[in-house]
Amino acid sequence: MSNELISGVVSQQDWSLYRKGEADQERHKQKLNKVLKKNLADIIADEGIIMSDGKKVVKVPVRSLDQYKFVLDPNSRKSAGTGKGDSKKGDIIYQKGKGTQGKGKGPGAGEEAGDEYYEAEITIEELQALLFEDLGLPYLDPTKKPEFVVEKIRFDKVRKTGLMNNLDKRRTILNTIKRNALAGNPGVKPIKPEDLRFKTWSKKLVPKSNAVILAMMDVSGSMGNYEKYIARSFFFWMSRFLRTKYTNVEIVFIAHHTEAKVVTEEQFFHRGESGGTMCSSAYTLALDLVAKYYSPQDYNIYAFHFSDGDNWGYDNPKAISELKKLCEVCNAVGYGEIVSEWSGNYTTLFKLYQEELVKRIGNFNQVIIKDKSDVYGALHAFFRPSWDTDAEFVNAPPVALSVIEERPVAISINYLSKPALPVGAIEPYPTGIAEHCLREPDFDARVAKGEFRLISEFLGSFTDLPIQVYEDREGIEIKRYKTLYRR
Amino acid sequence: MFAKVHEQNRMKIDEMKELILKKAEELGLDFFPTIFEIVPANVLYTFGAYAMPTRYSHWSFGRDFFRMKTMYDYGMGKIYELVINSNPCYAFLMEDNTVTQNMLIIAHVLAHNDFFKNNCRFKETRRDMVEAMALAANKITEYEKKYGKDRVEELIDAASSIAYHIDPYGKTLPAKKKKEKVKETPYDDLWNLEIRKQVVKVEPTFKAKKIPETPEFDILRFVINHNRSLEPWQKDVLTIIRDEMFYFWPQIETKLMNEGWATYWHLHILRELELDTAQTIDYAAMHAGVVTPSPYKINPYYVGWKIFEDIRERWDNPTEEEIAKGREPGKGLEKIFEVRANETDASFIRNYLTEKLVEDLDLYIYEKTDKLPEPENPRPWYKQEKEREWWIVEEKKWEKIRDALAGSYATHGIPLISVEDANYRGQFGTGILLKHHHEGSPLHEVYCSNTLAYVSMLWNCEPVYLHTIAKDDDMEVTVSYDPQEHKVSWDVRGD
Repeated sequence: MSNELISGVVSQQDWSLYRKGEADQERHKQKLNKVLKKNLADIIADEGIIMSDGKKVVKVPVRSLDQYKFVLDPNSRKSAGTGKGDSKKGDIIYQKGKGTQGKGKGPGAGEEAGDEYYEAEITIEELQALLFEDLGLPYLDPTKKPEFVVEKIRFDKVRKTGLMNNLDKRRTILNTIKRNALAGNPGVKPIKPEDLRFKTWSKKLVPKSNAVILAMMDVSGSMGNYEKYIARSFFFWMSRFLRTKYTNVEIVFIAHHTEAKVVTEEQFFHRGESGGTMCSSAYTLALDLVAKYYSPQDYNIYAFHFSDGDNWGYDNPKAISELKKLCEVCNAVGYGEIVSEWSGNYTTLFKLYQEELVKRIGNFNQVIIKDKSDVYGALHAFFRPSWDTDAEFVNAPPVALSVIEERPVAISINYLSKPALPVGAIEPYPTGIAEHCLREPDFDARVAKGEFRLISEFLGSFTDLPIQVYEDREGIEIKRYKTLYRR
Repeated sequence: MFAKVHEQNRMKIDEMKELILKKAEELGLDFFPTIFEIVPANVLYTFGAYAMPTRYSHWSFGRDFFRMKTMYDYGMGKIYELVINSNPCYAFLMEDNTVTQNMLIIAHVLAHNDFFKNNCRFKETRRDMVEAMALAANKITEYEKKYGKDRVEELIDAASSIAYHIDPYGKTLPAKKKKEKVKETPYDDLWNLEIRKQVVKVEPTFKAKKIPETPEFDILRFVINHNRSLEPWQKDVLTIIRDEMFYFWPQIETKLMNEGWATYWHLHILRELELDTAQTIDYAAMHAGVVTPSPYKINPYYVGWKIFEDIRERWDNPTEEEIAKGREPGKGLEKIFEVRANETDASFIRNYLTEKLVEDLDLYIYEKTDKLPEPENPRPWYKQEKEREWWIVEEKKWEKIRDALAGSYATHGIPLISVEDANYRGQFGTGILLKHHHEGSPLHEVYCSNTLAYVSMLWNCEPVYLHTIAKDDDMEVTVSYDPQEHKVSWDVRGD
């Protein structure tokens, strides 16, 4: 130990401008954005965003960038730990998954080896910018939208003076009748000058940049929550995109099965219906709305229809003809077919549309969506810059998208069915009331041992016989039925 | 006003430091002169992420900085200090620490300092690494300006992926030279009837040398020496990365001991100082927080400290048997100083983790499984739901625990990989062959595949092959990376 040198010094310099960590963090963020872009397909359909209901900042679970190196597989490695003093072989120190409550406090942050996730906070605007950049769309700053305003003449006022040409005959006559009745002189004559009413106009500044989305969805029995979620994801991004182009974007929700109805957004996405499917009903209603409220001169109309393609056969020709009419008044019309894994390839409807519409009409396009990540592809297919009002449109083939992602299937234990007996066998149970616990040998004994616990008992709604619900140690329910046998 | 507060704080810490330094010297600690720098939180976390204050810039440090800082901001974990192996020794204290916390930390830091100075593994490390890294960082910045940040970053990414595979203690055997028979006289061969009976083989004078002649365990060194098409700046960057790893290697090897040593001394030094009640409670609370045992991993502060206490106890008060064999009582202090100088984690555990310690600490080995153990699972045909995992205590026999722990501290979870052949003919063409020396644990497959891509990048984008044993079925496989298609294939080895 040298004595001449100072053995210890305390110092405190000015570190206020030190930004080394932040600078490299920026770099990491840039690289992360690149990764985000690659995985946009998965991110944009993430529930956190679609269901965000207007929240500005959304958390997206993103793996931080990995530094790959040779490592041993963490799952095959055994680890060591220190217990509370009485641990023995076979003790469960932690349980992951369902029912972890009460089975030991989980490892804290940083204690678990393996995958590192952190939630990247990304605003919807940032995500939108990434997405549109990726789709090759111009991203217009919403605060800088040019206001295209046009003076329009609307006859929506009534005055007592005006041009004879603009006489509102109905109101005038009504006023005459009123006045005459009050004077005790029923009848239409005489018409006095004070009865006259005239239609007159006011000048309205109508923003030229108006768009309306006619969102049509099949709500027949075959469209479940998952399908509705896909549709919602698509409409979410579609409306955001159109909002960058147009000042006013309205969405009209049309739900249909065999009949079509305008519904609220809530009903559109949440209400279930059932029944058959007649797509033409939706198109007819859409055309109706266009005629009544959304004149193509004032509005840029985008119509979109989601269905599972299971249309009633005899409705197909009408659907096609209505769609053709719709294509004439809209900027663009699209059809999205949401398929699940058990249906075959393109439905008849899809093929028909392909023949009649895609190949012949410029502004119609259709896609198939099999899972969440296909939403991205659907957006891509529809919003390439060429799919627009004035530009030349290139007929695109239908985009059949990615392979079905394996959705986890919930395992349910169902002890309802009786085992099949070979033909001619004598039924082992006597007539009368029999009990089935065939899948569980020695059920009663095991209940006595404590393996299963009775949690409820009620009467079946059809048979009025008691049904008992047991629960085993992992929380799996077993129902025990008594069945009536008749000979 | 802030300056004044800081000024007061600093003066208090200065006083403390004098007290503690004196006490530490009294108790026998031997350390380099120390500079205690008080820094704000973000600076400390930066140093924590980079491991050194003067290291080069890289996105991975940015990521770690962000992660650590976030955890600090959310109250999930705190770094109190950082100490560097150097002479003079630099230690960084967090601005927000209280005075008592700083006292504990200063004592802790001095013990680390003593460990760095005296442990055998650190004898060859550079004590001027802070300055050396500053120079290296400057060089890298120059290269970034000259050759582009992306290129340099890519190279650093690739080098970092294999950086842990260095060979500090010479596992690589030197190539054996063929011994030639020394003829003593010109007529010896006539007398040696054996030789005359031998058939004279004509050996070709030119034989392609196998590169490397013996398996090379230092992959970076191999790449630097044998890849002719690396530009000088690239070799420089690889050398920088390799030198850094050499510097950090002893710290990786002695983590448990080092923390245990520092914990032991922060406790014992502070016990000797006269603290008032409030201070005692403060420091006891902090100490307790630091040594909290964890059921899921070995807390080095806890286990290391307990082992040192045990050694002190056993050498201070040896049993009669031990006295009979020559051990004098009261040598506990001497013994722990000796231990800190001569052992590494693996030998520390192997030699000093006793049955009693295993019991007292209630150590166990556990495994993570997605199947409940047999006796408890009445329905083995029932497929468990996904996402369920159980962590179950698997081993309680103390010798097995000791051996397993010593083994894991010997390898640090770094798989043993060597370069076997630089001209191996594989399914995608001639490339470099690596071998994973399987020690009971398989490789992480996704990471392995991606690392092969990096190795290929460092080896002129040639195919890369790796011999290993697969996870699921224990079969010998060759993992082949095709740089053209950027894909990896795992094939069972026929031979």
